[in-house]
Amino acid sequence: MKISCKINGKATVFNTYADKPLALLLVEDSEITSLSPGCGKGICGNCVVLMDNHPVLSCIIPAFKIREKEITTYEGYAKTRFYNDVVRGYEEAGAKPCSYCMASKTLLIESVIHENSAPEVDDILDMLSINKCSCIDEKDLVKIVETAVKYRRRRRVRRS
Amino acid sequence: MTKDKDYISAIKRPGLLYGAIVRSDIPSGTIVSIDLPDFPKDIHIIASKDIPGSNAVKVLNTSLPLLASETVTYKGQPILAVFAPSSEAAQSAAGYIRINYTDTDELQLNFKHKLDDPDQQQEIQSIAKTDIPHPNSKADEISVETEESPDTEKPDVPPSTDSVSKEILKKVIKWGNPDKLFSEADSIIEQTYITGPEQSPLTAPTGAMAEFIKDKLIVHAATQWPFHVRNVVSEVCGVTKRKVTVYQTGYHPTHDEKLIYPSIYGALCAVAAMQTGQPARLISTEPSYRPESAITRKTAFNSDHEPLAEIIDIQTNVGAYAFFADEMIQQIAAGAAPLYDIEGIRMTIRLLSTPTPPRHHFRGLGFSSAMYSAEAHASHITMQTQSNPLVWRLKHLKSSKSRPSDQTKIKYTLLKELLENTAQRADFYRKHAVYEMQRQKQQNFSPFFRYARGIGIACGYGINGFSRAFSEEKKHSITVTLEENNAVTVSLSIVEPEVEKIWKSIISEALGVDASLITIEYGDTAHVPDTGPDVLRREIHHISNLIDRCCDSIKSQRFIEPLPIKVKRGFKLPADSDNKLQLFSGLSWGSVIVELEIDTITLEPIIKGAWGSFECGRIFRPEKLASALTKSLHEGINRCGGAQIRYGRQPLIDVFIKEVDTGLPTSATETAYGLIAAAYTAAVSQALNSQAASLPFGPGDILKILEHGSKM
Repeated sequence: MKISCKINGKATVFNTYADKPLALLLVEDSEITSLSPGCGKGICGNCVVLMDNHPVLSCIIPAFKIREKEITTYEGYAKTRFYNDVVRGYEEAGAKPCSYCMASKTLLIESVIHENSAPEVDDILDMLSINKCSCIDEKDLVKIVETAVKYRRRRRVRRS
Repeated sequence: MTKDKDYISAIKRPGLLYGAIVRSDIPSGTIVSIDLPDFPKDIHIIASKDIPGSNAVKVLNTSLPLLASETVTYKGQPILAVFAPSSEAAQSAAGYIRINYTDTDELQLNFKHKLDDPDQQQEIQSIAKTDIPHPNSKADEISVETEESPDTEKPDVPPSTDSVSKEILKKVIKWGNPDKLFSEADSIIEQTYITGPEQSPLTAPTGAMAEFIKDKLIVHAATQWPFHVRNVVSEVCGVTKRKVTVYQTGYHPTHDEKLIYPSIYGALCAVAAMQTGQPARLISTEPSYRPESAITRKTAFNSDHEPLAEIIDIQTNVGAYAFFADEMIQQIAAGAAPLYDIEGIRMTIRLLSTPTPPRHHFRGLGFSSAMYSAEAHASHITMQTQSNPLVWRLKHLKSSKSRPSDQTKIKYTLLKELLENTAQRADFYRKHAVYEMQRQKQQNFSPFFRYARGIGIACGYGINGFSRAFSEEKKHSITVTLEENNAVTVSLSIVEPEVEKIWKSIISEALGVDASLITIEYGDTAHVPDTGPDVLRREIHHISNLIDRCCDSIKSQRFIEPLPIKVKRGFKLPADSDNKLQLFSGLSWGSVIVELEIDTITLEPIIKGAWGSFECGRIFRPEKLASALTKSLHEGINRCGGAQIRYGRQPLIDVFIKEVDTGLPTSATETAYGLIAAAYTAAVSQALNSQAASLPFGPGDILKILEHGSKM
C-alpha cells in the first residue's frame, strides 16, 4: 500500500506493507541512520522519533498509522534551533548520552521541555525512563534537562 | 560501546539480501520433515545440508550446531535461514515454513525413564574424574574434584525436558573437615538463594552482514569478539581464515549478549553470500539469558554462635550448551567462598544442562550471583542470631587458617575500612537499630501495621577478566609501536572509547609522550592482533596491564634500538610472588548499603538511598568512575526488583572511591552488582520480617510472603 507522510519536513511516499514498523521504514526505506532499534518490541526505547511532535517508539508503530503524519527524527531535529538548548544542557552538565541512545534521549529531552516549561524531577525521569540505555546517571539527566529548560525559557522570553 | 561506527542496521548494499531465522518451537525432538512452499526464485533457504564446511560453532571446548539437522535440543534453536530482497519478504517466507517433529512427549518420557533408572543414569552421567590440585597447595589443605560428562564436546546432546536436567560438569572444593565440624555443631542455619532467569534488555540489534569483495569474504558484525566471528565463518564456509576479514560495527553489549550470536549470524550470512553471490544481512532480536542458580548454604555454629563450617551446594542452569564451563566454575567458586572466618568448607558446584537456550556471559560468569549468596547469607545469619550485621562483619571478617593459599588474598583491613566508611555516611547504626526494633515489634502483627522499612549492608570484592586457569587467554595479545616522530600506536581488537583515555594516560606517563600523539588502532581482523573477547571488563585491568608491560619493554629498548620500536605482549602468569598463588588478578573492593521502604499499597520497594564505598586500583578519571559506579548501583537495584523498583522523590545514590595513586585500574562493576543485590535482599528481609532469598524480588514476591505469612 502507498502511505504518504512527512519525514523531517519532506513529503515522502512509502510503498510498503501496512504493518511494517516505522523503525524499519526509516532505517531500510529512507536515509535515516540515527535510529538503532534494538528489541523491535517497544522495550529498549532506542527508536524514539517525534510523530506530530509527540515521542513514539517507532518499532511498534505500524506503517498505516503514519499516514499524513509529520515524523521528526534526530537528523531533522538537529537542524532546528531548539536542538541548541539540549546541546547546551549536555555541555553544562558535562555529560552526554552514548552514541547509541543519543538520538532517542535527545528527542525525549525535547519532548519534556516542549511540553512543560517547568518540569518536576519525576516528570523528567518518567519521560526519560522510556529509553532503557543506562549510559548516563539520573542526576546528570535531571541536570541536562533543567539546563535545557532554562535556555528554552530564555528563548521563549526573547521571542515574546 | 563502540565509537562513531555505523550500526549493523545502517549498513546497506545494492542487492542486499535480508535474513530471517526459522527456529524450533519445541524444546526437544527430532525433525521428521520440513514443509517448504514454492517460494519465488529470489527467496533463498539455507538448511544444515547447504553448509559447505562444518555445521558447528565452536566456543573453546564446546560446540553447538549452526543449524539443527535432525535433533532439536532447545526451544528457539535455529533450523533454517531465509534470505530475501526485503526484511518483510524474509519474515513472511519464514512464517510459511512448517517443521514437523516426532512426538516430543515420548522423548521426554524416554529421557525421564533414563534418569529414573540408576544404571542409565550412571551411563548418562558417566564421569571422567580429573583431579586438579594446585601446584602449590598441599593435599590436606584443599581437594578439588572436577567431573565432566563426555557429552560436553559433542554438538548434539541428548534431548531433555524442562523438568529434566543433566549434570555436565561438577566440582567439589573442600578445605578443613566440615563433616566433623558439623557433627560438633551446636546449631545450624540453612538457606537457599535463587537468582532467577533474567533476560537481556535487548537494547541493541545483534546481527551481521557478509559480502564477497575480490574473492575475499568480508563480514561486518556487531560483535564483542571479531576473531571468533572470523574463525566460525572460516570453518562453516570451508575457507581459510586469511580469506575472511571481519569489521566490527557499532555495538552495545549491555550484558555481553554479543559474544556468540554475531558469529552464528555472520556464518549464516557468509553461507548466503557464497550461495547467491549477493551481500546478505541478518539482524535478530533473540534475547540472551543469564544462567540461573540455586545456592544452598548450610552453616554450623558453636555454642557461642561463632561460625565453624559451611556446606555450599550450587546448581547452575547453563542451558543446552555450556560455553566457558570451566571458567564459570572457577568464578562461581571464587564468589561463593564466604569472607568470614570459618574452619571448614565443602562447596559442590554443578553445571546443569537443560533444553533451554544456551546461557551467556551476563555481567560476568556467575561470580556476582555467587557473591550475592555469600553476603546475603551473612546478613541472614546476623538476623537469625539477632546481631548487628555491621558489628558481626567487623568481628568475623578475618582469614581462616584452613583457607587454602590459592584462594583470593582478601584485604580484610581494607574491607573493614570501607564498611565503616559506608556505615558512617548512611547513618547505619541508628537506622538499623530503629528498623530492627520495628521488625521485632511486628512479629505478632501484620508487617504493615505501621511501616515496613529496612536497611541492608554487604561487602566484598570483584574480579576482572578471566582467571589464570583460562588457558585460551595466552593466545590473545596487543601491539604497541613507538614511531620515529614520538607518536605511539596501539593495535588491539577491543574497542573501548571510555577506557581508551585511561590507556592513553598510562602510555603518556610511562613513555613521556603527549596524549595527542597516541593513537589507538582498532582496525579489522586482518590488521590488528587478536586481543580476545571484550567481556568481563578485561579492558580495564588486563589490557591496561598489557599496555603497561609493552611500555616497559619500549622504555628498555629506547635509545638503544632504532625507531620504530614495535612490541607485542600477550597474557601470561605474572612472576611476582605476591600474586603468584592467586587465581584472579585485578581485584576491586567495596561495601554497599541500601535503605528502602515497602509501599503498603502497591508493595513496591521504594529505595530511600544507596551508599557505596569502593577501592578500584589507580584512578585516572574520578568523575567518570563515580558516574559509572552510580549507574552500576542504580542498574543493580533495578535488577533486584525486576524493574518494579520505585525511587523516593530525591533518590540518593552516594558513591565514595578510595584513592590509590599507584598500580593499575580495576573495574568495580561486578563488585557493585553482587553487593547491591545482597544489601537489597537484607533490607527487604528486615522490612518484611521474612527472608527474601531470591532475585529478582519485587511486589509479586512480597505479596506471596504476605499471603503465606512466613517469618524469619
